[in-house]
Amino acid sequence: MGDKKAVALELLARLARKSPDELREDMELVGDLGLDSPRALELLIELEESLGVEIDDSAAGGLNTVGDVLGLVDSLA
Amino acid sequence: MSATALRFRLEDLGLAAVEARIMGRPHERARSLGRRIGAVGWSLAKGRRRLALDNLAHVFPEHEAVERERIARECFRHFGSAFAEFLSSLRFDADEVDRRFDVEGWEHVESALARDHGLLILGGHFGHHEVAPLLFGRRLEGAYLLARLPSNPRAAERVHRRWARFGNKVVHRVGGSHRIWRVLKDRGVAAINVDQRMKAGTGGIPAPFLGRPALSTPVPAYLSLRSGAPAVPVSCVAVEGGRYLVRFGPPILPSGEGDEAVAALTERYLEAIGREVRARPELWFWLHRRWAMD
Repeated sequence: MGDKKAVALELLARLARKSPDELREDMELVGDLGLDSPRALELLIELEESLGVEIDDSAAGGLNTVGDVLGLVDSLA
Repeated sequence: MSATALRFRLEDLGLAAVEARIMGRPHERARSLGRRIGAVGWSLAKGRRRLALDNLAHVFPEHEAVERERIARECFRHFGSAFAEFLSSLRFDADEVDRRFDVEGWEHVESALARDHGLLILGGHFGHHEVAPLLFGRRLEGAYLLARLPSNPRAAERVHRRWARFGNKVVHRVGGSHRIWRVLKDRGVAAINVDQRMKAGTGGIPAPFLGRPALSTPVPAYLSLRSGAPAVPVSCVAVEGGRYLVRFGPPILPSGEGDEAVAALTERYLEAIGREVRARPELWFWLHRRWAMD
């Protein structure tokens, strides 16, 4: 797994108070991980800061699952 | 046409009729017309009336019932006038904004901006908060307004047209927090109302507001802590002659980290709004379930 994906998984796990091993790509951010909108904002900001990138607002709006987040960070330059 | 589309259309026709009546008269007349609309609301909206009285009984148990009823009645009239004056404000050009708005505490805005971490302007559903963004835009060459627009797209367009002036940009509250983060990171200015109710399960944190725990948004405090942006509380109240007094308070600086710091800062924001409400309770929006925990 790439570094960026590993960073994203660590962040997701911390915000969801789970271990990275417990996360699956089909898990929903809200329904399964309990990431409400303030936590989702935290996720985006932490990703931007950790990876040194800017995440487009429209891309951020389409994140529903763990897989979506991993796909997004994979696509970031 | 669906029932919702029909409802939206009828609502907009009503708004257009009120707007036409208001815009055909001097701005000063909007206040008295709006107060009459509010008085009708008091007579017709019995559920809201009960809700307002119930909220007031919890926050001001020391007041006599007759005094709480006076506050509630005045609240209806006030929000009628706020609605009418907001519609009327579309006519304000830059000179008229300069003429109609008196400002106190501008030095607090300047000292906050001098920190060079951006600025959060913290408002509440108090006074004539809907017209205050015109002053922000005029004095700050534009601010980003994080707001929940009406679900009726035609009504939302009317609101947007009034706020998106003098360099202001309206950011929809749903999904807009990330945009505000970017604004603060770029050392810009964002205005947010912090006293809005959050439903259970949407990330609200219980914070004391007017002496009772209320689910409140942690987002402004989080953004301040992450960006370093100071927060300056603001209020806008009507004064004689169709004019307004906008008052800025001392900056609230972010300190600490983590969820505890977010909770402490949120509490300080609500205290600042709460002080204004206790001083002029009739100017706050008592007509909603602010303390509901569901």
